[in-house]
Amino acid sequence: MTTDSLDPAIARPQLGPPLLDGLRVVELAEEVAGPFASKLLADAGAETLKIEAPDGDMARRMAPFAEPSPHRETSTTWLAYNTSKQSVVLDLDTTAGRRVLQELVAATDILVTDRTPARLAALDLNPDDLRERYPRLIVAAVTPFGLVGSAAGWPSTALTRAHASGSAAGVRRNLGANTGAPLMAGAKVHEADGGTALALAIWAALIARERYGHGQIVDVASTDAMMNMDRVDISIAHNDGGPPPRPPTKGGSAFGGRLECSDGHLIAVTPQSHQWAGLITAMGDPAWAFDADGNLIDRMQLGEEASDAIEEWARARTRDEVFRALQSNSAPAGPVMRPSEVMNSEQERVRGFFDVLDHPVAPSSRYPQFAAQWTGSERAPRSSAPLLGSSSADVTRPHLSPWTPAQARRAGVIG
Amino acid sequence: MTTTTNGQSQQNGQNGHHGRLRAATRSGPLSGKRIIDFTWAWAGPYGAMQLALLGAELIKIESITRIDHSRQRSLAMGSFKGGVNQAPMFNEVNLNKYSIQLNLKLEGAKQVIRDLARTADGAIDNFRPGILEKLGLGYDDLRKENPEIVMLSASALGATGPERNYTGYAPTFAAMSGLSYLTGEPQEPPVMMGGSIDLRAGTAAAMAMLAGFHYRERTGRGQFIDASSSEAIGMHIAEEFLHVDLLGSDGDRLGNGHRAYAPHDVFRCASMRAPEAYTDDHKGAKSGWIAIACRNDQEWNSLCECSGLDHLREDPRFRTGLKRWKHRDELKPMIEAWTSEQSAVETAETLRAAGVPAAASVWGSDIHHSENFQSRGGAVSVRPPETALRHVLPPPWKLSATPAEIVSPAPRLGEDTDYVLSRMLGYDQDKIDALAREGALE
Repeated sequence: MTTDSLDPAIARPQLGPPLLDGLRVVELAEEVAGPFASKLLADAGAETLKIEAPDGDMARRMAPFAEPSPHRETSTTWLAYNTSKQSVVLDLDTTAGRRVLQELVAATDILVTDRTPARLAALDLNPDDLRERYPRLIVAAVTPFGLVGSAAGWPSTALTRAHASGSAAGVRRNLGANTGAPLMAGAKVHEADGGTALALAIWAALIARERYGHGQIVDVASTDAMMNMDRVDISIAHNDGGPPPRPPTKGGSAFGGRLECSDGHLIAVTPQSHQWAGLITAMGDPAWAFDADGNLIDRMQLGEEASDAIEEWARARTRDEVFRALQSNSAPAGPVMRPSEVMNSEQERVRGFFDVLDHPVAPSSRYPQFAAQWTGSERAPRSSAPLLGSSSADVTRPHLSPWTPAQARRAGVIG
Repeated sequence: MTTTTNGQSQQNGQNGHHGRLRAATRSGPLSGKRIIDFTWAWAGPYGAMQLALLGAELIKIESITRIDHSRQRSLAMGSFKGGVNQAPMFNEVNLNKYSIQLNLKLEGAKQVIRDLARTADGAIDNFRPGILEKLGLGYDDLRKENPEIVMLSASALGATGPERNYTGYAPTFAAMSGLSYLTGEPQEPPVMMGGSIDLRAGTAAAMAMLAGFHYRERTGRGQFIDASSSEAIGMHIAEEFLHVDLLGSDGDRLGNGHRAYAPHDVFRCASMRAPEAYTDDHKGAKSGWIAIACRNDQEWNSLCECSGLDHLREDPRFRTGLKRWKHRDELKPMIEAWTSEQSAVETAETLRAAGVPAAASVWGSDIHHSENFQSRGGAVSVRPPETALRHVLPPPWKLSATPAEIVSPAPRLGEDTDYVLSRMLGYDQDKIDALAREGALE
């Protein structure tokens, strides 16, 4: 894509409405995977009601919090995965609470949930029954081991799911050597995988609904989602008995890998021969890389000395010097950036990847957008995560449920 | 493993595979949708494959002059021994696709793309920004043929910004997203990430493409979508960016640890499975690790009971959750002294039955053999034309009314060139011969 094509001055039909304008989501989910899926829908313009217990989503209690002290509105995890939603508090241990939930589900396009099959049945939200009652409803579940399968009731946490899926072993493989413990990736990436798989499948179900007129059940096991991210290496391990032995290298790759520079680390990856040649050029054509006739020696024939020389070269330079030298010679490389460096990079500033959202309790902060820009539709306005129960009174809005404010107050549905 | 599905090509031989993927386009959300797939390597092909699994007709544009390098070699392992049709990596991210050979530098091949664009619903590529435009095949060119086309271009850092022309692979996207910095043990350097990063970027691209198709169904409008692979990883770590603004610092590497819970780690075991599991044809790992997490006193007490470490319940260092967390480095060897005499799979079963979150840390065949995987239907088998039967993972979502189907292994290079030209585009033999003479079908 040339930059011209993205220039708003170039004639384009005017932007259409936001992607999910006019669609409604009810979310009954906590922590990361389910909330991440519905946050993606909410940020794309779907009106999203998050149902919370009186003490709120578990993520509200997950450290760390905006300083100075823990507060149910300022957990970074809570804030990150609940943008653009409205919060409705319902006590689902009460008949009235369950009735309201039924009515909200009846009026929605998509139900996002992370509840186990047993819990859904207890709430009279059995997916098959819901599908019969509401043929256009999309019931979208992300659970640790799926709605179907004998592991559905297993106790688990993000740690045990990352290991049960192979995802942690996959991270471990990147360390190069063949010993040591399997390792979770940083942040909450493994859990987020369940969320993106669910959101992808919801969009597929929305297309099917537009085309064929019916909803359906979307069943994502978050462990299956994590597993799929390593499907290539898992397949080779299973079908081919593991990868061929690696050449003797450090840092995880035959052709660069993790390099320590004077001010931090950098990753260089040069699998193609022209990229390797670029790395050698960037280093100033050291003699060890060439044979007597002046041709580049096959990399696989080079041993530890080559790795040592590359490492020594990198150590004497900053990340930025190595990065620019390699990139300007078509050798793919990237500095290991801190999150703060990503946020302050010129690249992301120009792309507008972060936008600042205000919040009634937490300080204003920069939030990442979706990783793609749809150039034909307007961006939906985003808002920060809702205060607990801040939209409870919305259950009385006529298009959402039959409750009048007076009825709802009498039934204890709203305060 | 419950399903065995193969493309018809191996039954029909070299040339008799017309409609080889017909079954894929029967009942999916994207049935009847045609997508031009310019992608290569891992991220783009995996994203495009999601669309093929959902029923779309994916036409992968390939050329002998510019072979998808995942047909030849890997970042970590170097070249494959087999030929371009035997690469295991290529198969995993190109299931259910057609392959046509086109040398896009030649005018005849460009005309084929323009003709395809007129009949297509979408196009997806992961070239460096600007490459397709130079070939005269960018979005502005294709939308002249078909104003409603949905086109997504995924690149390392996006199509705008000062670093848009930089090239990258999964390990560099991860490095430039902030994730590598956060991955690793607290006292160790950051970890170089691998292929899973590509597949996360591919997932985000597929989702963006589906959003574009959904939008077109509702509004009739096509559009261009600019996707950044680094941002795709950044999107997965949103709370770490909030950490910067709200706590004034970057977060830390936690390894397998947790900010509040202990024990919360992996522990070395004597073996992966009990000795009787190790028959001659056993394919799983011998050594084993178990992940155990205790979030509260109840889970801790159950762990102590199951492990015979009852005396730890009385130890003042471990009496509360906070104390266990503070003394987690002392706790770890005590638990490991027990696990190192156990097998991982069976011990995890025992702990889960007692309500303790636990799992064997599995890989490869041990994933295929795991109860959670098997009880959801297990693997699908495919037989790429020039290799042995392979077991592959099904997609990570189950759609009750429009289920995904893996109907075919990845295509051989150019396997469907004739089919695409004659059957999809209606070219006659003279026209195809002329293209071949020009070198456009190389």
